[in-house]
Amino acid sequence: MLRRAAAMAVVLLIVLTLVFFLMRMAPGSPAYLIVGADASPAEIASVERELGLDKPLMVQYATELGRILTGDLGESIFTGDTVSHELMLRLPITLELTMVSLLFWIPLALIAGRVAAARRDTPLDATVRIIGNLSIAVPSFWLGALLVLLFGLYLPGVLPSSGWVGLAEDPMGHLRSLVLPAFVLGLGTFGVTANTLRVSMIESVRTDYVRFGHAMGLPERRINRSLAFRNSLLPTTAVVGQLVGVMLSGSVLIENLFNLPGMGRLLVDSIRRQDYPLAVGATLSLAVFFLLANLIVDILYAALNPRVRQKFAGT
Amino acid sequence: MTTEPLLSVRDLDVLFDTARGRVPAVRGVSFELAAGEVFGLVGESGSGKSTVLSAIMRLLPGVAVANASQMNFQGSDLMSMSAGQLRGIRGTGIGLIPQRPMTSLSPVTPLRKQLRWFLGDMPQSEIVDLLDQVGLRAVAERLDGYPFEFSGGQLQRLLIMLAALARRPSLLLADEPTTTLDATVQAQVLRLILDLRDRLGLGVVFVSHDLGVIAQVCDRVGVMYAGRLVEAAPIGELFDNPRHPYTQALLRALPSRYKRGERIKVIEGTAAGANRLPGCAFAPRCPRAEAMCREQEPETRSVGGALVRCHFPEDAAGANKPKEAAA
Ligand SMILES: Nc1ncnc2c1ncn2[C@@H]1O[C@H](COP(=O)(O)OP(=O)(O)OP(=O)(O)O)[C@@H](O)[C@H]1O
Ligand code: SF4
Ligand SMILES: [Mg+2]
Repeated sequence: MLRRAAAMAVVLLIVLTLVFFLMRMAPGSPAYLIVGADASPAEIASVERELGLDKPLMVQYATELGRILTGDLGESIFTGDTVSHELMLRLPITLELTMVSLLFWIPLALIAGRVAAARRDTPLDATVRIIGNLSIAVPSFWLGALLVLLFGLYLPGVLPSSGWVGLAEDPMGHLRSLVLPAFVLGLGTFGVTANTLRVSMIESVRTDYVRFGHAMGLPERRINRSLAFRNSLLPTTAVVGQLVGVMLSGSVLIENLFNLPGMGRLLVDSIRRQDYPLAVGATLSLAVFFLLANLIVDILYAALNPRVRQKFAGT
Repeated sequence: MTTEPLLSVRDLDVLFDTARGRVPAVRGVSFELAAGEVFGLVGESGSGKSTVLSAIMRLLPGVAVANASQMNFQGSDLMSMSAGQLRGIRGTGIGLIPQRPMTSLSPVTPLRKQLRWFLGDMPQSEIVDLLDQVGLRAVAERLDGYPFEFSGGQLQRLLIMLAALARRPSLLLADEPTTTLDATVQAQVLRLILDLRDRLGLGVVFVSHDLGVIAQVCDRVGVMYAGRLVEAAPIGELFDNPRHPYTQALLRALPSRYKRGERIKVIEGTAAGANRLPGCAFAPRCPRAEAMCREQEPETRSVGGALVRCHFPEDAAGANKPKEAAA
């Protein structure tokens, strides 16, 4: 566990360093945010001095690192609010979007993959495979744009295609505003998860324990559920773990497409505005989010795998 | 004998459809087994012993193609049975002790639960009694553990318990059932199997590479080489009077080089690729091979009490030797 925490810290440091320097290598200056695009060089210089941007890069880096280590992410240059306040507004939205999408797609994929494997080489199996491969092949920006157009223009009022409704304001409207983005965000995970489970279950026919189950005359249902499916959950969980990372980067696109004020939007906006502290804060928290998601998946994997579970307990 | 054999296999062929073409694994294997009889199968690794057992169970992998002119269990044709009929026979009619005990139970489920799958709602006391019979009394307290927490020997005995004792099949296919057991436990398990045979008339196909074990438990033995049953004979006949050159080589190697638990590999050369050759598969390694051996595959013939698949089977007197060898 300690080793893992150390590895996470290293990842975060690398992420921080990359964002810090990449942001400052880009042309332009956050000072424009404050004094406007037609400010004189003198005005810009004075604002930059105020923000500490005139100091040598390494000094800025050291100051920033020191500040972040104390838990202070600084203030947004654009809004003037603290970065942590901005993050607290945005983080729950991305978190919820990802969760809802996973909770919708993963169970569906598990059912589809399992049924397809049990009915191997039937039309049902073929259908699952075609839908699964389509779900992987369809580019989400294309599908997203199509849905925005469809529901925004041709089917107005059926489902909201843009914007976000708070849970407190209107619970039903809140859920409705999640439907389309959650659908598009997780679509690809459906195909990948269903395929993984299907292939793994079909291959489990060759395992010694499935053979012994047959040799003992166990009913087909028992073999499918308790032997093939249960064991195939391990590789499937590992794959879902990878997909969560893909979904997090996907949320940047989806939030911008469906105009949701989540982390993905915040990230894009802060980088475009060269709002250095906010961009660093947003990137770092996405990285933390990603690492935590991986940790949860690994814990789930361990829970499913008694061997790993014992190793966890042992250390 | 007028009664129907428990198991009769005739002209069993099994091919594996692999990326490198069709590989014959079993060729023309025929044998019969009466109730209460133990038939041993010996042969080096890859000679097709496990494949024969899988074919009888109808549990060959999808890449295998099996054919037989007859494969009857208690008079009904196994080859033509539906999946449902087979399920009814597996476990209760025919039991299989698998070759690899370490991987034959699900790695992610506690033993107690897996025992429930196999034994239904058998009362705990009965389960403990069954475990006791295979010397697993201690395991009864650890049933919440997972397979990987047990030794190969413990798992092997557990599988023997499940396949042979719990469900009382009339035919037991045992694939090297005692390889991982130490001598005392092995003797206990063998006694148990023989006891079932005596009490219930269990018929057993007993695969082993351990000729010592074979000699202890079998009534008849079949020797396999490159997918073929090259000799089948009553146990005394085979040991006293082996007729196939391969059997003779096996037995010659016995006293000096054979050790318990050692794989059979005692003859110069290798069986690799032998099953693709025309003629006799053993010809490249056979001291008695003649030109016709390389051209024409020998048929199975009856010599004394044995069935031998060789052009020049040697009888007790040493007659029928090729002239060159005699000169
Ligand atoms: N699934 C498979 N695909 C392809 N070939 C196979 C497969 N299973 C077995 N074979 C081949 O069939 C032949 C017989 O194998 P089998 O396992 O029956 O031998 P065996 O006598 O049981 O050997 P061992 O003593 O090692 O258990 C071997 O040449 C093997 O390579
Ligand atoms: S048929 Fe010929 S080669 Fe084959 S075992 Fe007999 S003597 Fe040897
Ligand atoms: Mg084998």
